[in-house]
Amino acid sequence: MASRLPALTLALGCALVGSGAAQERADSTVLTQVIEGHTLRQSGVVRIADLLTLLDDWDPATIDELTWQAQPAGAAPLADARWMVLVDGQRLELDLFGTTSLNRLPLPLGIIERVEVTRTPLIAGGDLATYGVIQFHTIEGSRGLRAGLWGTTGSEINDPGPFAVTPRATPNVDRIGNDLSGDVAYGGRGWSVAGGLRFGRHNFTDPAIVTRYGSAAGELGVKVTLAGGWGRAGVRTARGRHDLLVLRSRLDDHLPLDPFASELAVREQFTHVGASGTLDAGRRTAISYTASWSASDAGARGSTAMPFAWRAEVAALGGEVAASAGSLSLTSGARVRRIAVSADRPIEDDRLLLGTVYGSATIARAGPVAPVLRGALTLAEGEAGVAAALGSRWRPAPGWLAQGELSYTRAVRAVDNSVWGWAHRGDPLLTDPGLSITQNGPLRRLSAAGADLALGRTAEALVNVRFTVLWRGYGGVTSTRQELAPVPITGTFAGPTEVVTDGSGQILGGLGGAAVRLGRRSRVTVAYRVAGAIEGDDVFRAAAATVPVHALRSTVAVTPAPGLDLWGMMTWRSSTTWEDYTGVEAVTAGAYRARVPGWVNLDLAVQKWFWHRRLRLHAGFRNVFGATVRYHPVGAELGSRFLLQGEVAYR
Amino acid sequence: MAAALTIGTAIPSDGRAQTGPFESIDLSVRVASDVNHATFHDFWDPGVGVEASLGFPFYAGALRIGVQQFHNDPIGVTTVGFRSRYFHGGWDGGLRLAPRLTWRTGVHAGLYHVWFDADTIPEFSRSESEFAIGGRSLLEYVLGSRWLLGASADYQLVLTHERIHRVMLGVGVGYRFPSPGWLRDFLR
Repeated sequence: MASRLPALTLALGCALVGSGAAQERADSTVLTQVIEGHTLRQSGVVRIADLLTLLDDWDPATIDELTWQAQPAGAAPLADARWMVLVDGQRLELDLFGTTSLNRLPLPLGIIERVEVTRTPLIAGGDLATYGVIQFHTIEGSRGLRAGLWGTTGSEINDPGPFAVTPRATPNVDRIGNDLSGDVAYGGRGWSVAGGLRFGRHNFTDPAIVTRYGSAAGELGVKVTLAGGWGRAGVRTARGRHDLLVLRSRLDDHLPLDPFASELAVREQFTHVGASGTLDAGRRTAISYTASWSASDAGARGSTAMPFAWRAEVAALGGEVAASAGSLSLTSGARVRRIAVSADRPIEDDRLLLGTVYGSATIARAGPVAPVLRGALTLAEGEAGVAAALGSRWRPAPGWLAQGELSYTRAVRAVDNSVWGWAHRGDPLLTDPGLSITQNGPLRRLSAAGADLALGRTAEALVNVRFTVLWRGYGGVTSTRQELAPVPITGTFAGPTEVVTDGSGQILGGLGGAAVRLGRRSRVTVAYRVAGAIEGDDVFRAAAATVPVHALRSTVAVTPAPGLDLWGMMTWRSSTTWEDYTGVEAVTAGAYRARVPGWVNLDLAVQKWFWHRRLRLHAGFRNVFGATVRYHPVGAELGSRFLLQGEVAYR
Repeated sequence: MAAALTIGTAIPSDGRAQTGPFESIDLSVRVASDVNHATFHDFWDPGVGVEASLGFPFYAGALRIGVQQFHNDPIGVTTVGFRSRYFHGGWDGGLRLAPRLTWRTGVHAGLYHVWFDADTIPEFSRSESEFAIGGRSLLEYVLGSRWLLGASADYQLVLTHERIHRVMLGVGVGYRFPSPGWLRDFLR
């Protein structure tokens, strides 16, 4: 379909209640996945971004196993990530040039109580979010002292071992960690303070990326480190609560820059200071507020890197009123956001001001149907963006919940944080003489329409199931088409880039799953996802081919004895095709291939709690069968690897 | 292939019923010899090694943690000798063959750590480690009320790029005593 109308999107999906590692809460919707802290422990996550591999309805991808990206099912393929991240209700501006790396979030793993992941429309963060929301909820402050330490070390197998000193020596393999995070909290009557630190490192060795990363970072090599801290203070009164949240992280990372067809070795620093609170303004009225300031810095590191410096400061202020009368619940709010960027190059439009008003109305009648209407209007740079969603829940039978969502979004260009978006605002980065870029027209505003219909069993039962059908239609999509060729000296790729604006397409998909409880101590889940382009221009379809059409995830969690947990997760991901790398495949004699084959991965883990659950020891083995697990044509192969993890907690 | 004699059963073999989890401790020592001949043995002679372990009865079977050490002498002048330590944990289950005789079989996994002998190797690369898995089968005899004698066959697979296959035979002795209350409390 070549329609330039704001995309009409139909989404068709099926998913299961409680599918995957996460256990759906009885009060959650069939379109939200909740990952509890115990699931993070059972699966042995090393870093926060690892949780993306536990999501049923999202497709995670990585080049190097350190930085993970993900898009919810039905998302515009290869588009910049526009999903939202919140910590205890505060929205974080994690996105950097369209890449949202959760590892920039310096939360100690031990303080995460649960993570709620939604890919359908939701009022959150002072807006109507239609591209997905990940909400972190930390452990509530309580009276007394609480402290914890969480550490992991691991490595790929296939090290040379003692053969390193023989003619049979082979290269070293990836070293994961050591990663360590810790937290301390203390609470009194009506108040609490908490703080924590995180540190981690990763040593890359995979031949698919090590030359490229090495040339990007120069003498610094390919070893990267993560560091950061987190603090929170809260006050609770009879009339409300107030929280102060401070986050600061430093991450030596490799930032993908599509126009350069390579990664830039950068030091990313992220700072967030925010206050939020809620006040009861009557029996049925509550007022909440947020005020935050954040800064994202990225600066080139290493002597051979190209000059690069970037800083984006975001100041935001928002207020919201929620009231109910009879069967009607109303929420309305406003948020103002000011973005100021500075760089090592002059940027024409380096100040943006965005204002958003939003609201929702829910009718909670005594009957089985509960409709909700949500909307948001954003003004920025002389443009008006709209987002609207109409949803409804109804209970067709006891224990069953059906949910439908229709949505439409036409965003302002000011929310486009991709490198293309900043080029549109006068960033001369892409005027680099080494680049050959043609653009077929002015940057358009992305519009999306969507429909989701889900049915699931939410009651605690032996077998819970969930099915969803999803449809999305997009317009104003900006995509790129590149004819890449390898640059052997640096291990990078180069070639002319064609920027195609105003693309369009449709995606149709289905999600389905089941969670089976086998006795009190065992739980098995299966989740299957299918989604693909059913309409669209060539560029859209080519981009859609980079996302697997099929994905399946199954978990088994068994507690055979008190304090002993066994965990297994099987993942199947179908093949993907990256048209831009077709030329690379021919030139490198197949060393890099445009088609990334599908794979089946199996992870196993065992953990034992000691000392009345104050001490936890965990051993995990990932990719047990040694499958060729790769997400990207020029990404690393994630081989078999083992992890040892320990946690000490004082509560 | 080698057989190793192992001591340290956490399951009583003297006809008593299985004790509760972590009710007792088996402190064991054994000596073992690597009798396999694979690629690894073209470069090194592991000789005889020693192992110390602690075993605890679990809800079913027994849990065991231990460390095993060998010194692997170089074969030929182009190879460097090294000391290996296998830090491992595992589980095994037992089948009573006679009032005091139990046949136990289980699995273990851990880290195989290597320290090279040569001072000429740079400090930062003088040690290596790799994941290893294995299985063990042993016969255990209870002598008196507390002493244990055992003989076992043990297979280890070290998951280095060039796989290391080790087959060991061993013999050992162990001593069983009740767990102190604080330790039981900790382990549960």
